[in-house]
Parts: sequence; structure tokens; C-alpha cells
Amino acid sequence: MKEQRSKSHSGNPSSSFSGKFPMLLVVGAFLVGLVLMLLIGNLSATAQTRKRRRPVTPARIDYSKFSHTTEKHRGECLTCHKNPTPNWRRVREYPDVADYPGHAACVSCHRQQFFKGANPEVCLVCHLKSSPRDDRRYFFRNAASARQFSIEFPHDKHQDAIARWRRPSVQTATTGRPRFTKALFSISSAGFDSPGKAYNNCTICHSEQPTPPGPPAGGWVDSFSPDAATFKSVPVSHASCFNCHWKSQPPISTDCAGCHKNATPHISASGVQRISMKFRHAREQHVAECTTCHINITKSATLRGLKPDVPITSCTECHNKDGLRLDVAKELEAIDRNKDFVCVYCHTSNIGRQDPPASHYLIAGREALKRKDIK
Amino acid sequence: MQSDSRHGRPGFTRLFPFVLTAVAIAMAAILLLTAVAQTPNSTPNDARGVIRLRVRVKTGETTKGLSRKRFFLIPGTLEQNKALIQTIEQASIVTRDCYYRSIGGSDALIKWLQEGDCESVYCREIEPRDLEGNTAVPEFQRALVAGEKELPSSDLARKWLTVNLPENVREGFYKTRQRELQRLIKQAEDSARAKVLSVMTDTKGTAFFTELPIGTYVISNLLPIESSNTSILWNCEIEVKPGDLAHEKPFLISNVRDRTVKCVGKEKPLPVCEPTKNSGR
Repeated sequence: MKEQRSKSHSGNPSSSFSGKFPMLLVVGAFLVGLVLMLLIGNLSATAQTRKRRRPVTPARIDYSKFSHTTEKHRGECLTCHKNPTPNWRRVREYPDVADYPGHAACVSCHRQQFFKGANPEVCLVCHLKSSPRDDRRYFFRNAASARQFSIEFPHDKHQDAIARWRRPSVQTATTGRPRFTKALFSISSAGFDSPGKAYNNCTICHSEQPTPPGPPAGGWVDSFSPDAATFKSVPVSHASCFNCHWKSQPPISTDCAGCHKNATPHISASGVQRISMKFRHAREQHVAECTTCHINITKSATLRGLKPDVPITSCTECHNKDGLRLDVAKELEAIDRNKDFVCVYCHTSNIGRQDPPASHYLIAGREALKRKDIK
Repeated sequence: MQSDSRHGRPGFTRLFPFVLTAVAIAMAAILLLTAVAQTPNSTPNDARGVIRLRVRVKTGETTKGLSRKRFFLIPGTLEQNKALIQTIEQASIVTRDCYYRSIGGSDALIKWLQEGDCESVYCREIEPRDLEGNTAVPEFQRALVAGEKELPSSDLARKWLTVNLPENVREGFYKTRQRELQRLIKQAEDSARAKVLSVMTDTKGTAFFTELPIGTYVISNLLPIESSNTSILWNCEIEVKPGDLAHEKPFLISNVRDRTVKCVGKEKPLPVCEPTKNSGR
């Protein structure tokens, strides 16, 4: 046995070795590759170290651009900004930060740039021209400049704060009969059952749009131009905040960072974006309390990641009901007949030509389909 | 060494194939583990459901939707959340009227809150009639005077009136409730080791919990709601099933038993407020 074992191990070395050769080749290649990878990694690291050691020419600083993320610009906001600014009575109906910081805010650090030549570029942060003869400044804030902050707004807390204890009885005191009422977005007595009382609700910040929205870059899809009744407004000034948060109620107006958080500079998306562009908020049948359809807004603690939160079920209560309307089901059937059919009842063609989401099929009581799978 | 030299092969050469095989197996195992770790989880755990909550409260002869009230969804069964539910049921309630009386709120302020069924001064706009005549609220009048000194117009001072109200009038009740609520939420999350979700009912008393992992939950309002002369507390078990859209069949909860009601709340009489020496100013 001992001899046999010994033979099988090494009795015929050449045949044993050739039998294992393919495996050894693969493993060997793997190991060579591994060594090469390590060598290349090491070489590249060495090159990077050499690169770092090379003397670096400092990049030219563009002093006409101001960034709040620059280390020395990250101090307390009120180091430079004044709240309220001296001009607020001329330009606002309420005490507000309504102007750029004064010269002292810049000169304290940028004396060299401030007095450099006849047209110092540092002036262009606030002024239209860099000239002692033209002191005109951009409108505060300059809508064309990139936004450097995002806004922190907890919808959930605000919903709680304006909450009512309970609704009054729907019976009138005089007749004892139920009264039919219609809930509105507006901040008026009609919004609830108590006559003459203006209850605070979403309208504090989101009211009727006075004018139609401007077209997005590239124009309206399908030339479909939504009217003013399509959207609600969003706050664009401190007016919606300072009425409660001016002082006392944190975050107060001097605590800028309470609401404004540093963000990657961004230009606000021009025009409006919506999946169902043809939905009009002000249409009579659509007038309801906001949270009836925006079902997730009362649990939203931040604006980050806040997206349209209206599920298809909010629409299909009316738009896909037997005996009433079957708008969703009909368009899904149209896709069955023609896979290139574009859904147009709610959507413009950029959305309407995509695959309907599974939720739409589910609501119609069907299995979800992809257009490419339709014969 | 002896045997090696006997067969004419050095020891390293003989062991080399075994070492290589071992290394290759180890590498393959690492690759396999990496591949498995990167494979997206497509188990049925991804399934989600929805709860459509409908809350109706009967007060006297009238039954109506309970509007603008927050409900919480705690992962686990009633049995698993037994300790939490005991804490909720035994917690003492600070009612709205008792709170405002305890801070020496005027009768006019309490009446103003009662008339609008408001929990706080932020509930509705403070109107000129709330500042003069028999219905004037003294707290509002003082805040108006302070505001008129620093704001450009009397109208703005009225609209921004809350900025000059004392903290306990402005947000004391809200903060008192929030403290208790946060304590209960923390207990629930520690016990369930998962986040507690919440939604607020709309004017019809409807609310949705969406994107819910499949499983059993307890629906609770954590702090009892005040309805007429009673408080109501709900703690009910609900099961979320895959693909449950719940748009046709709402989960109906109420304070009265009915064949459609899935969860009946426990009703208790509201505590009697202790009058304070400052009340009635």
C-alpha cells in the first residue's frame, strides 16, 4: 500500500504533472495577473505621489464670483448680512433682509482686491458694473445667479401646528339639519364649517397662481401650455415665514441656518415639471383639501426628496370607476391594440409614450405589461 | 526530505500544485461571496402594501370623519407591543382646556380656542374682532400693542401677532404633547427596532400609509384625542398583505361598534381642570 501510495504520488512524475497542467496554467495565469495588478497599482500610486510633489501653480481666483462654501465665508450669516437691512421700508412691507451686505463686509478681508485698478472685479459680486460712477446693484436676490442654499421646511411639523382640535358639528345651531359644505384651498370661512373664521391651512403658502407658468427651456411639450389654474404657488419670499418666525418662534429671522442649508450651487429648474401635466388644481371637481390627494405630505419632515406624492388611487376614485368614467382602463386597452398608443388624457406625450407603471394596471385589475411585449 | 531526495524531486515542487489549488479555491470562494453579496435582493420581502385608514367619531347623534389627527403605525402585534400599549393607556392626559388654564390663560383665550376647535393660536387668523369689544382676548391685545411699536402698521402687527405672544401661550400645549409623543415613539421604536410611521387624517377622516413592508402592525393615536367630553384612544392590530392597495376597503376605526368598524377606541371621560389663581384674567 505504502509503495502504491508512493507511486501514485510520485511514481510517474511527468504524467501526473501533465495531468494537472491545465489547472496549473489557469491558476498560474491568475497569480501572474494578481502580481501585475499589484505592481500597476503600486506604480500608479508612486506616480501620484510624484505628481503631488510637483510644485502647483495656484489657480487664478475669480473674485467676481462669491461662494458661501469658501472656508472664510462660512461664518455667522449676520457677520455680513443685516436683518433687517436699512432699505427694507422702501422695498418691503415687512422687516426683511432686502439687500446685499455693505462694503465693510467685503473690505474687511478683500482690501487688496477692492482697491485693485479702476474696475475691480470683486465689485461684480453685487454691482452690475465695476465702476465708481455706476453703483447700481443686482436685484436682491439675483434670480439669475445659482442658488447656494436649499430650504429646510418640515411639512409635518407645520401640519401639526395648525391642526384643529376637532371639527365643529355639521349640524347648524338654528335648524339642526346637516349643512352641505365644500372644502376649498382658500384661507376663508368656506374652507371649514364655522362661518366667518379664517382657518390656517396649506393656502398660507400655496395659493392660486395669478399668472400662467412660463414655458420650460425648449418650450412646452406637444405645445400644451397649462393655464394659471393648473398649479398652486410656492413661497418665494420671507413673507410666508416671518409672520410666525420673525422673532420668538424658532427658527427666528436672524437664525438664517435654521432654514437655509448649504447646497451645491444650482439654478432653479425653469418652468414647471409634473407627470400629469393636464391636471388642473382649480377645476371644480378637483377642489378638495390638499391632503386628500397629497397623502404623504403630512409625514414629510423635509423638502429633500419631496416629490409628487399623489398616488393613482387619488385619481381613479373618479377616473376609473365603473358606471362613471374608465379613463385609465380605456387607455390601457388602447395600448393593447396599438403598442405605440400615447396616453394623452392626463399626460403630455413625453410621459404618455412610456410604459404605464404597474400601479395603473393594478388599478384596472390587470397584470402589468411592457409595450415591447405586446404583439 | 528523505523521501524527496529518494524520488529525485525537491519538496517545494511536490507541494506546489496543492498550494496553488488551495489558493485557487480560496480565490473562487471570495469571488463567489462577492457575487452573492452584489446580487440585488429580489425576495418577496420587496412586496409592499397600503393601508387606507378611515376614522369616524360619533358625538351625540352625529357621526363624522375625524379630521387633522395624527395616527401612528407601530410594527409588530398587539402582544409584541403589550408594554407600550400599557404605557399609552396609563399615561395621564393634559387636555387643551386644562393646559391653558394651568398657564393662567384668560377665559377669552380659552373661548377663542374652543370656538375654532383649535389646539393652538396658529390654527386660525386673529381678526380685528378678537382685539376689541367684549370678545377681545387680553393676550392678543398685549401682543398687538408690542407689535405696533416695532412694525410699520397696525394691520401687520395683527397679522404677525403671534410673534409677540409668550412662549407658553404660543407653543406650550404643542410642546407638552410633543414631549409625551416623542417619549412614546421612542419606546415603540426601541421595542420594535423599526421606525414608527405616522400620517394625519384629512377633513373626511381619511389617511393613507403607503409603501408598507408586509407584516403585522398596531395602529394607534398614541395620545388620546378629545371629543366633546371624552377622550378616545385607539390601539388596533392590522395585517398588511402583498399587493394590498386598500383603495376599495378602508380600515374603518371609530368610537362605536359597528359591523364595518374594524377597530373600536376606548373612551374615557375627560379629566376636570383644576382652576388656577391666574385663570379668568
